[in-house]
Amino acid sequence: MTSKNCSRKSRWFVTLNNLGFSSVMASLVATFLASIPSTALGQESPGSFDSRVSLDQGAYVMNVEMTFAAGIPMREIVAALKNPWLPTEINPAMKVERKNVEIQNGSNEIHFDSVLTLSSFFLKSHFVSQCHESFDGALFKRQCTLDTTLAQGGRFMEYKNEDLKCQNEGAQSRCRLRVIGKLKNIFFLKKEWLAVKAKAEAVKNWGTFWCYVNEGSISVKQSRQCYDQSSLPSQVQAFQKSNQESKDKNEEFHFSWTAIP
Amino acid sequence: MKIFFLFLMAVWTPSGSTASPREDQVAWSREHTFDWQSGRYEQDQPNNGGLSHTPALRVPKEGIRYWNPLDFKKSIFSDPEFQNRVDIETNSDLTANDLVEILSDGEAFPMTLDLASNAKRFFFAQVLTVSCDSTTEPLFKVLEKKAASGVDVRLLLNGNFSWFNDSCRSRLEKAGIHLATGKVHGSYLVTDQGELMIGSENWNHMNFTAPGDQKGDRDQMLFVKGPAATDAVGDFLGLWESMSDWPLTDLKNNRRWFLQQRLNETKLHQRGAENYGAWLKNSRGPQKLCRFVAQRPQEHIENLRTLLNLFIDESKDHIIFSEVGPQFSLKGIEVRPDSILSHLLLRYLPVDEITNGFYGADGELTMAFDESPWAHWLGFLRDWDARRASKARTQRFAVISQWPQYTVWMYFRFLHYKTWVFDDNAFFIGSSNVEDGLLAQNSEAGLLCHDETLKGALDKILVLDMYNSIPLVKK
Repeated sequence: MTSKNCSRKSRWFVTLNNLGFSSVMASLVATFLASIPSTALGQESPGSFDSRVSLDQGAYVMNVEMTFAAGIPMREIVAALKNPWLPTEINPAMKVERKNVEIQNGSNEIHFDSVLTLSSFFLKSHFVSQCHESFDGALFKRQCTLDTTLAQGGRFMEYKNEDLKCQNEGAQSRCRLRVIGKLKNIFFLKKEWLAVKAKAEAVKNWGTFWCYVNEGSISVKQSRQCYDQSSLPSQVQAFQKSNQESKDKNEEFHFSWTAIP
Repeated sequence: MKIFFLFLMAVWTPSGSTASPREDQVAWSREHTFDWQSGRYEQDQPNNGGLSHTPALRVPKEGIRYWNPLDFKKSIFSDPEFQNRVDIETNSDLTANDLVEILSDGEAFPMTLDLASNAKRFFFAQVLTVSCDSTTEPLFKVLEKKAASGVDVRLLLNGNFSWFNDSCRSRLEKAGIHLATGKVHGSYLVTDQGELMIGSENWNHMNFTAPGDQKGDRDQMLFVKGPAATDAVGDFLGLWESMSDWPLTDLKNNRRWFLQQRLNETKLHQRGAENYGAWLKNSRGPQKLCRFVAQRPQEHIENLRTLLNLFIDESKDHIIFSEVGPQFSLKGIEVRPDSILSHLLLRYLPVDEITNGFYGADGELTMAFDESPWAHWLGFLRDWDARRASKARTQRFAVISQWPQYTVWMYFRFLHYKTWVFDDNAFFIGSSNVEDGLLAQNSEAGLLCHDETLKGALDKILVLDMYNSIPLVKK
């Protein structure tokens, strides 16, 4: 079986498994379905969300791969990524602002400070990252590094880096995000526990973002519903549970969801 | 020798006469006194809506273009890179194969009926004002029939301006027509047949029966058949989902239809930036190229404002636009540096603004007074309100008319349409006035096109409407 068929098989497996098929049955049916050409099933490259998270004593590596349905233009993905209001709509506890935006003369690159405000109970924490971003119509890149010397950055985090790239790959557009960071203990809250919470939240936020863009950037209200109806919430629950049960294990957790065409 | 003589005849202008109707009108306004208190010329002709001539119904014989013809190929708008930039900054697509036709005043009603009759899967409309009256009755009958046959009929209305009585509302809802209200100022209707009507007309007796003479308002709608209509469907779905309480699952199939339709159009090369080079370099000039843009401030989507500002900033020769005319002073300009008016004034280009003066009165409200059965008794109130509106507008004119190369054209009756012409090569028809406060509150929508046929049709309308207006120029 080709690698393309392998990935299609795994998507079918996840989908069927979510629909209540037993693992063995899902595997057999998925192998069969993956061998049929997409067009024969009426499938039109529906898009998928895939994330892998590794945790190690408060440090984490999170890789997200978002593939968008054919017909979703790059500019729509970029518009959503640049929309300052979208993060708050997706998660009301979060606010992202751009400050000190500098346009680099003669290039399409901009430098800015990204101020992330997280609200929890009555407390607000601010994190300032230095970012640079570019988009030439085909490739979108954004790199951000948390400044631990500003605001509450150094109080909660040892370090944090984000690297996001989006581009057209054949008929579809794909974004790859890699976030690496390390949390600190906060009062009585252990960094291991905080890392699980933070990454569970991140999967939810990026999963909702993917839903929003993949369904034509029509409405956030609808994208929240799309996320809730996907298999991701149950996978996030399983991730949290497994990390509570086996704190010492350093294993990679895999989240995956393919849109139903 | 004969050719030389003909040439001399063509270029020679006898002394004492001016070169164009525009100059005639400008000369007239220079010679007469404008009363800044009342907002009208002291010597105007009330029977002609203030004009020194009888208002024309068609382009007069002496009617010539008031602006320079410019070659699209030499314009920045023909540059694919510029269009790519517009795509990104306004999150919109330039689409091809958009057949466009402009409809003035009451001409829009038969087409609205046609669109409603043609709908097979859905009929969506966003309108400011809808009233149930004898004129709109045939339209509602068609929509009721459509809803009964399973067509998804949805109307999104402005809650403050739609004159619905309870019986009308319940009648439509009983027929299966879905209604929702919100801060709506856009004006379009769109169907699954790829047909769109967009502009600024409302659904009521005053608009649908406007004959183009001294009664009713002056309005325009653009009929479009093509992929630009698909983008209007996407906008409507987003608006509906954010403004209504209807369950989201309700629109699932329509969302799928929208995504599939967009994908099909991409495959047919009717959308997609990779086609821009071929479309924009057409030797016959731009044909059927349009871009749908919307403003949904509740969702922080301000693509319409961004689009107008981009085209203002990149225009090199002249800008013509029309709007109702805000009733506020120039303080509004200082509110936001990205306001349309501040962009416009900072360009220092020749600008012609066609808007309402004294005889436009208070627009829809004055017309409603006139149509009221108590019109005779309410006359004093009507006149007081009309004078108030005119005075408020004049405050802005007092500043703007001093601006270099900026000419305000006061239409002889109420003008409602919102059109922009950028360098004779980009044409916008939509719902938004330049009033910054309203743009930040209400949903708006419009279509910007590059199309030679539309250019010809719009030329005639603007020539006629400027002929039927009194200019207010710097003395």
